[in-house]
Amino acid sequence: MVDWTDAERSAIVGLWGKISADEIGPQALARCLIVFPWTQRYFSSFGNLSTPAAIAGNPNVAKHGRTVMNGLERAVRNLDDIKNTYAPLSVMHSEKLHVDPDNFRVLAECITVCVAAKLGPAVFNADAQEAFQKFLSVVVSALGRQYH
Amino acid sequence: MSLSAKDKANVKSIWTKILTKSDDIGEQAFSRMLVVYPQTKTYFSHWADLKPGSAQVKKHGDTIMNKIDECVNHMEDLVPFLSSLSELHATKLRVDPANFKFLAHCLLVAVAAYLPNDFTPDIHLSVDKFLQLVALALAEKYR
Repeated sequence: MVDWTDAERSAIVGLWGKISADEIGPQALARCLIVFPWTQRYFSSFGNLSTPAAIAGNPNVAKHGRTVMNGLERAVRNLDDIKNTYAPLSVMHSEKLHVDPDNFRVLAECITVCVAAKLGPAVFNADAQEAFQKFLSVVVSALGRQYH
Repeated sequence: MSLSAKDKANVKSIWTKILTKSDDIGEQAFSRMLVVYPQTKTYFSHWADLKPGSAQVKKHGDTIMNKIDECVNHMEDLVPFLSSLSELHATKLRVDPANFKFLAHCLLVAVAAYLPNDFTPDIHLSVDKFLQLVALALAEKYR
């Protein structure tokens, strides 16, 4: 069980309420594919990923970004049981998708950067960043947990 | 992963904007690192106040940021440029070089927060590479 302080819980729920998964998701996934180009290995069926502009404008990237980001909703609503909430997704990423779990960490970094850009330094202050990164690292860990 | 001509141009271009807010960004990056990665506080146990906004945190954030600003003009010769600083970190401060990436990450977050429209994905890519090379140059003398 993860130990969340009341401040962390309220920061996470508060931040989630201030962002749109449909907006941040596509940005974060596109950023990940651009900044860490080896992550493109999982998306060969997505069409044109040859330039940053192509990635940013690719509708498959946008759709998948929304899917992934909206998936975080489950974690926000189940802060005390993220491990079990994500167990089936972890199995899927390991056995069906064969995604190197380091990619989860790298995508989480990009999500953090996009949220910082959206909310600015006053709202996304040091304490907010701490809570949000702790939250993302719990999700990342849960997603990697069923790998064997 | 070395810096292409495009990377160097990207870094110089975003840095002209970063320099207009260098103090804020430096302080933010360093203070965020202490909050988000609390293990980094172990190197500053001799300071009275490690909270964001404290005088020591502000000053040290400035010191670090000023040096990184200088590194932008030394992208071709980072290792010799940072030689004595590397010596200091290796032999006297003995900061585990695993921590350099935490500061780099917080610097990226601070730049994104202050310059959201300028910190595009391709700029992010180049800055990330640049900071990794700075960290490598800083670790040069460790062993």
